[in-house]
Amino acid sequence: MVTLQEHKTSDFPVDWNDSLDAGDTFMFDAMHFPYPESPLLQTTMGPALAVGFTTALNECDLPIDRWETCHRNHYHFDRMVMKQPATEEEARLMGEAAEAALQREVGRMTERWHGEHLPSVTSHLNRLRALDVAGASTRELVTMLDEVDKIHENLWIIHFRVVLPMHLALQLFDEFYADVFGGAESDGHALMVGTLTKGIKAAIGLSDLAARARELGLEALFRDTPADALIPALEHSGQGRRFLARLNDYLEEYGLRQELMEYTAPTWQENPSVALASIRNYLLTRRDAHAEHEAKVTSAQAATTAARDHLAAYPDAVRGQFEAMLQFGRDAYFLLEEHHFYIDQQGIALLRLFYLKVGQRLVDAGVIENPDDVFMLHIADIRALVADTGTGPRANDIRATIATRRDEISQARAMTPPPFIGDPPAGPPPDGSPLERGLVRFFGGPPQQSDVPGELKGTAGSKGVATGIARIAKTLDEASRVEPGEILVAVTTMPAWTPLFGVAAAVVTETGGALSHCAIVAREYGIPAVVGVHGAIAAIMPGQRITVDGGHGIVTLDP
Amino acid sequence: MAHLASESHSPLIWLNGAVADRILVGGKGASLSVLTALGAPVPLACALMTSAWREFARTLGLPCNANSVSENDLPNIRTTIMTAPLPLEISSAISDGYEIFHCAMGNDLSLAVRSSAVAEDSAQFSFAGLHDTVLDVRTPAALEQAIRHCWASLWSDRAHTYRIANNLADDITEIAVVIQQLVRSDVSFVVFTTDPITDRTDHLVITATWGLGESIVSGLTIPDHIVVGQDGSILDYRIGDKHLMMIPGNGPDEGTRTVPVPRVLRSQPALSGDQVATVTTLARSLASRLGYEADLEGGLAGGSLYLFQARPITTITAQPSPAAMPLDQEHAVVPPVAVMTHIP
Repeated sequence: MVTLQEHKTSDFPVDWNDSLDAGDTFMFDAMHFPYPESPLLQTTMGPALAVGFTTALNECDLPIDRWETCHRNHYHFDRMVMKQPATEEEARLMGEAAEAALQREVGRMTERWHGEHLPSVTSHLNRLRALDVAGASTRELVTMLDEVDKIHENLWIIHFRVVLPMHLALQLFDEFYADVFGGAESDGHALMVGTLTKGIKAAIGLSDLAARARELGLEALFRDTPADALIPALEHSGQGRRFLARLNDYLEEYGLRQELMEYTAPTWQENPSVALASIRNYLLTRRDAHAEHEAKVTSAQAATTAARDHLAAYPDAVRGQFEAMLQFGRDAYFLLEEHHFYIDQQGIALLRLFYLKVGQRLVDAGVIENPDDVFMLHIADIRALVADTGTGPRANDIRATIATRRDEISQARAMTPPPFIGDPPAGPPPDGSPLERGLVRFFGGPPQQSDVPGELKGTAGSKGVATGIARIAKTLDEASRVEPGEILVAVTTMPAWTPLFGVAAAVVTETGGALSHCAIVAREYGIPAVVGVHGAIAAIMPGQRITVDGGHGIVTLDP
Repeated sequence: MAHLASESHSPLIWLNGAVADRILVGGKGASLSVLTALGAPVPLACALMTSAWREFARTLGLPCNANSVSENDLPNIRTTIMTAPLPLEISSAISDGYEIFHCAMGNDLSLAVRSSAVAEDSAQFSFAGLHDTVLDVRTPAALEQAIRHCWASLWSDRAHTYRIANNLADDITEIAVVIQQLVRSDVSFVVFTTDPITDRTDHLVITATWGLGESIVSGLTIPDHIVVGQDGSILDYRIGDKHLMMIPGNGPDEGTRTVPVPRVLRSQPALSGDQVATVTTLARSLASRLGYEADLEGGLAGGSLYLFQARPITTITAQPSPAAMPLDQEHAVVPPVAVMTHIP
């Protein structure tokens, strides 16, 4: 079937000329994949994500047949294909089986992470590090590409095995807390802040580096040197070199992170400018991440004690349930950062570094010009080029293809993808089960309109009100220029952006819901956040004064 | 005045092993005394006897039966009961009783104060729910108010109408008050040793819910409905939608509260299979020794089982049975395990 559907946004043509039917609906997940993706990411992560999510959904007996991805204009879209139970009875049984399986997984999610998932992920990551691309024979390299595909797939299978029960655990805690204590569903997170996660440890590490820089007498140098000139300036002095040695130790542990889930984004190990900007901020504001974390631990303990006191007169089943739910919630907080650190961050970073080495092989063979040209290739192109069977594209064609794709992606960056392609969704996302409600609160609900001029509406992400100058950031590099007191406005914030939450006075994102990473990190840092403000970047001028009311999900623009 | 002399005539009697006469302690008090005599796990309880009421009513010149009383007189009678000074002997008996509870329960002291009319809970007339109960009473002043409240409920509009309608107007209206340690039940239940709806004597019916038992009796929530067969097997376990529960107050002045049950617990069974077995064994053993099919109210608190009341099952139709409540919930013979509360 060949149909051409023009979406309302005329700058986003969608050509349905392949296996997709006109009746399909694919959603745009701007929170995770806001920008056009490199062709190599599309053709490796796309299928790996689909296998990973589908496997985890099926293991939990969810009534979902599969999860699929597709790309249009290099943007990532995805959809869930539901199972079609023949009878209501069958649907009911499916629902019960899924609930039982998910509850079982919530009960053992931390145990499985430590005992099973983390060892497995670590071994996959170590294998990625150890692969000797430069020294491999052609035949070995072909095998290696297959092995890396398998590792990639396994990483996403584990990823979704972790996140499904994790999201359910958060939602169950939130619903329980709201049922007993009233108020908003996210209020109970006051009990869970202060969990020592990888994200917090990474921030504390930066704060420690700032303290080290101060000890070494480098404060003036940090203050007076532009960020991009810092490393040469530091290399100039003995004290500076001592600091850089410490920075390298830090990057060894925390530097396999990128601003986006994208191969083309350099890791902090390759380009530490964001880390340096964060250190500079800690240094100049004299903030202490240790003390901030301790304060959070203390406030969470106080909130927990207050909650237990409130429950003293309740039946033991309620008190027992509360303790179990609280533990699940805290475990989920931990797993949220933990899985992301190892899989989303280190996994993709190491895949980038692996494919760059493959790119170097192709450069050495005279096929492509630069190692990072490899990201403009489909994985099938790479296989053919590496195997050099004579059936693959010729070098001239490849260079032309790379140039064309770079152009396409650059043009696509100017497009505004619609929230979905294909037929409009049949209705709002399902919210019949706690997991479905949790996922709605993770991804965010439909766009909200405000009737008040100069006001934008979104989802309450983190309580509090702050007024400041808007710092619009499409990249982490732009975001890292946020000055203390400014308000960060972004499409989405990835975990690698976390240290900036200590600098900004508030955060506004276009994507996500109350359980999105952005909202959770903002609560951790105690700054107001409004998430899921559709069209925020277009509506807010750079440098404009705005007021963020995180408790009500409202952003007010100064005229 | 010799203190000992007044002690021997105290209008307050402890229900702790000896069978007390219905004429002295009312229907509830008498059946509680029987339960204690049978060794049943009854929380600490005493009764302010009918003599106290009689003395109080005599000093105030209150009517002694419903015959000469018109409905218009009732508000005045009730106001008098709530406000008139208590004879010294009665007020000191009450404060002495309070002290005993205080010694036994310490600062956690919380009392259930229930009217115990002589006519009620007899095999013929249940008077179910006609006389008042005051829960979570914590201070001496609140105890005195609660006792007056129970006395006044003897002259409530509903009780008066019931008496006239059942040709009990000539009977002497007397009332005792049972004061009992309020057990902070985690789960409350009512057991009928014979099915009050089907009248099947080989079936025992338990209704159970979270928190204090008043939410079952008052119809506040739809409790779980469990039918147990002669051999102790669970024949039916319908999980009710227990969306509300009653719990004790947070402080001495707050009183009981009705609060929502968290969603995850609404459809969880309130009693485990083992707990159903324990309740069944106790109820059947008591019924055989009481010599009548019984309706027992009880609760589980901190893992211990308590009984608060026992009365004969009167008539099938007169009993406001929880089984008559709508049960449109999905039901399962074997309840699902409360997975979320029992994570290893």
